[in-house]
Amino acid sequence: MNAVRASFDRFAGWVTGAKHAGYSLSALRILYGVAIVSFLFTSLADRHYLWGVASKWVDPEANRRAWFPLFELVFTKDSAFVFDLAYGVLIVLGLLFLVGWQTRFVTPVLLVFWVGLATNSTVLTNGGDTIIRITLLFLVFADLSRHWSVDAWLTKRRGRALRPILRGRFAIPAWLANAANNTAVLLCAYQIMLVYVNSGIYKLMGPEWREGTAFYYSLVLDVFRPFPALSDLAWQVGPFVWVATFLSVWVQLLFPVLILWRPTRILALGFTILMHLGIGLFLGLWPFSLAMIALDLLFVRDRSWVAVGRWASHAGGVLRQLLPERQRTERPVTTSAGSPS
Amino acid sequence: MTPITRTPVGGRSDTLRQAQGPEGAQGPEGAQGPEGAQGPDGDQAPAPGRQDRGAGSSRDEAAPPKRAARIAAAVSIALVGVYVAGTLVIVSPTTPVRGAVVAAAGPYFTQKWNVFAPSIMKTNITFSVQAQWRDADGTLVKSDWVNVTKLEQQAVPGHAEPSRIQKSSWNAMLAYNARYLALDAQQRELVRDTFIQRADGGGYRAQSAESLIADLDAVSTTPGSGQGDVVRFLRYDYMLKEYATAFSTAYFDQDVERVRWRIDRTRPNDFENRFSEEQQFDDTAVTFGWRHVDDVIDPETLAVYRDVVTRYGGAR
Repeated sequence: MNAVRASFDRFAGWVTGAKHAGYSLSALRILYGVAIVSFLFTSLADRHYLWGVASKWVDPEANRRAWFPLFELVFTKDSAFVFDLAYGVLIVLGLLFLVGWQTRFVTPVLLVFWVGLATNSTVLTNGGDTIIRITLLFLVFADLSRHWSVDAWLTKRRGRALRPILRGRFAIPAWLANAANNTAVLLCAYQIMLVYVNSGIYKLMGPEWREGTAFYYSLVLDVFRPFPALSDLAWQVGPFVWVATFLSVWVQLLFPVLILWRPTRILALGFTILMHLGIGLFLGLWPFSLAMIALDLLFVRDRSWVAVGRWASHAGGVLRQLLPERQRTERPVTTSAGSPS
Repeated sequence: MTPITRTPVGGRSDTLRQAQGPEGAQGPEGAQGPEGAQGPDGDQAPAPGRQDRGAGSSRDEAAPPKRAARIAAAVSIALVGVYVAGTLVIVSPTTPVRGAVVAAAGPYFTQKWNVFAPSIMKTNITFSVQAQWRDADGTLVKSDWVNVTKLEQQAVPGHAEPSRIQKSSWNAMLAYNARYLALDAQQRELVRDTFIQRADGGGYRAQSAESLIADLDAVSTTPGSGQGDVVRFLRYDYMLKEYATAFSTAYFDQDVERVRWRIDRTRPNDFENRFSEEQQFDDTAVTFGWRHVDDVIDPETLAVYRDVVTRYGGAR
């Protein structure tokens, strides 16, 4: 009983003591931002056909989904102009989210607009939209802009954090904010594991996945061939098809186990990230791929991010040293006092 | 919304205060206790009972009282627990419990991760439409077939991230075909026929939904039992009639009176025959009967369809 209590107290310390996954959440914000903005721009010319005035044919199905009414209010099908306003706002929200400006306010509004657009149709949603929709709700409660963001840059410049709206008696204590952030991280981490295991089980039930040929079939459907020559090149080598198929099944199925030990975690994350880059490149499903990579990165420790940053900066320094003298001296060198020498 | 904290961050002693756990956890991110449980980011939990050694900060406002920390932890566990239990039910095979959970959690949390599985899709499926209109003499003129999906999927080749138009009629065909296959053989034969009847005052009109349901029920092998499938099919059939009407009106630039459509399927060679030039599988097509057009398409919608037809190379 004492051991249970001690574990619980340890968890209480972990969940309220500090916001975890600061770098991973910031990387996630950037990748989600790229996924959302690229999705909106690539479908920009077709927006009225897909979700706007010309998409009323899908309403008998779309209206049966019983979404929370707020989501259904955002994108009208009655006026192309009002629809365009909302679409424009969604693009701006996506960009603000990407650069990390006022993320704590932008995220919930982005969520409403993002889901709002999806409610206008039933034939366009894919796994990427679903995973972003579900996890974005959790991420509303997380701190997504601690690094690599305008918010972080402003905080550093001012030497203090942005002035909170709720102050004094109504201020939210840090431990509560920590708990919210960390619970969101746990929910997102569970969600990605669910996707992998659920998908792995389904794959294991399919003969083509067991035989090692499924990767080939994913490359030959017209709807998923952005670069047909590249797709055809990929299935030329049989062993490549088999290895890619087998690894897809087993790494997904065993993902929750593989991430428990650092060496297997590195291998599992390396493979899933490569797999999703492949899905993006070969099948053109970039929003899905980026969202999955973003969630994979939640399993990278802050320490590792710092170490990679230090290594990158060191590598940059070495590279600069290797550059010819003339190129190096072209740039002003900043002294510790801040003045160019 | 992200909680707003009263603890400033960034280079001040407050930073350390924020980072501390109820029992004085070490450091901000990546803080570890000797027996720390791992979070998803690999951070380890601070050990309970360790003394606070944060620079210049004692137990302060950032560190929650033990009771508050425990309540926060319990709420966190409860939220994660409810979500885990709920989603496991949602992704499980159909059970009476699943229906109730999906009703409560859907559509927001509805999910099914069977992408490309269990049996991977091997067939290209497309939506082709044909239209009829009356010429100056009042005679019905029949158009050529036009493949809507092929036109929409012009968005795919050469585009690293294609427009989502790639999925519009493709997904509609997958849904419609599944509903067609849910009907029994006699019902399928009937829906492949026309849904048009003579109007009392001369001319033609669309057969009513009620009479279609009655007809389909009458030919069913188990009358009265499969009405859900019939209604689901007819609803999608009506949607495709709208889609086909708008598309063919824009494409042929005529006042369309009837439309019909076809599901075309082509299957690339299997893996074993991937290098063979010979086509292993014959193309298949299922053609549905004529549907009467009784809607007025608003000019804004028509302009959008015309724009799509022009941009994707279907202009005549």
